[in-house]
Amino acid sequence: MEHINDIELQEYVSGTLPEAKAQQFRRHIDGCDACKNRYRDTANLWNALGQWSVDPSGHEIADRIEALAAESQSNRKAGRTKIIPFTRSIPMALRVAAAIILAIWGGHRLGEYGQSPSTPDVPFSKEGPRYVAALGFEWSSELTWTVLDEETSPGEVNP
Amino acid sequence: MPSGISSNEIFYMTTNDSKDGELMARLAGGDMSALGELAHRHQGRVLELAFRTLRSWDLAEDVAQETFLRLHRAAKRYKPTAKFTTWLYRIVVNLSLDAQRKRAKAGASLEPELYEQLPASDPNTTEKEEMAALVKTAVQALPERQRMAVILHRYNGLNHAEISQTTGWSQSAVESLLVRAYANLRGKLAKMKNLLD
Repeated sequence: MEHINDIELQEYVSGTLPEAKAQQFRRHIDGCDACKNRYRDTANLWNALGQWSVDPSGHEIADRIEALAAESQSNRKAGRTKIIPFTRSIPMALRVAAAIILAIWGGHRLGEYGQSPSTPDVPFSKEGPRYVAALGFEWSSELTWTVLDEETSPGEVNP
Repeated sequence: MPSGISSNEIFYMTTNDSKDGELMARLAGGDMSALGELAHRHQGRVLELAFRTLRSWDLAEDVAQETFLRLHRAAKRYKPTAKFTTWLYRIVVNLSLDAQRKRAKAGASLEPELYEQLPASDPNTTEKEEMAALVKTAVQALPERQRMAVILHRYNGLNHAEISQTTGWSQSAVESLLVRAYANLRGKLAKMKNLLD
């Protein structure tokens, strides 16, 4: 067997290798001085690093999480069966109605200001049918020409 | 010599994982008490990991709390395809690294608890305490990614593949980080020990 590389040695020392592989390494290390020394170094470092212990007691957050969870659960349950009394719903209805009225009035005012002061005249002939303009058709539109072609005699139509 | 994982340990891990899976399913179904149970089961390891990364209990507590809140938010999407702890650690690692970068950006000065000088040669300090302080200083002096790899490997017991899943780094990157990190630590510890002797 070839020498054990650093990566495999780390896994071996950390005890995360499958048992069959670990046994194979154990046998190799027993018979190989170079790997035995490297193993010893790696294991010493591993054990030295283990000296840094951290004690999280006094910093637990589970109770806080549990309280938040319970609060959220009770809020949700209360939310499902919550009925707003009729008397409490009146101010809300009034506010909604006022908001709608304000929106309509505001829209109306804006519409007034939005209108341009002078609308361009729709050209029509002196004797031209006023109902064309009244209907909102433009003189130059194809439709108007079509209508006038049928209704007026040649020469009466403006270009 | 260390041995591999025994069948008892595998049974323990599987049982633990299925218990976590069950709690996650309850949480997804709206049973909030399952979140409290999960927090009780895992807060120790979550806090340790966050503290070792951030070196501040205040920040570690914030990260731990946010971790469990994210667990709640993700409960409906959770699929027990990987080990529960690997998934949990992934959240902690991401939040811790974010917090670390935010702190670095803000240029926060090191809090007293973060700043661990070489232990003074106090005659009352035992050799074990001295060694613990040396190790802490050496680990904290590692570059960010090397430190995270070592913390997950040495202190959270994750193998190379699990570290890769937790961090999102490739397995070969993790292995290379670990080789460099342990070589760095060996050098730093030998130097510090010489300085103290």
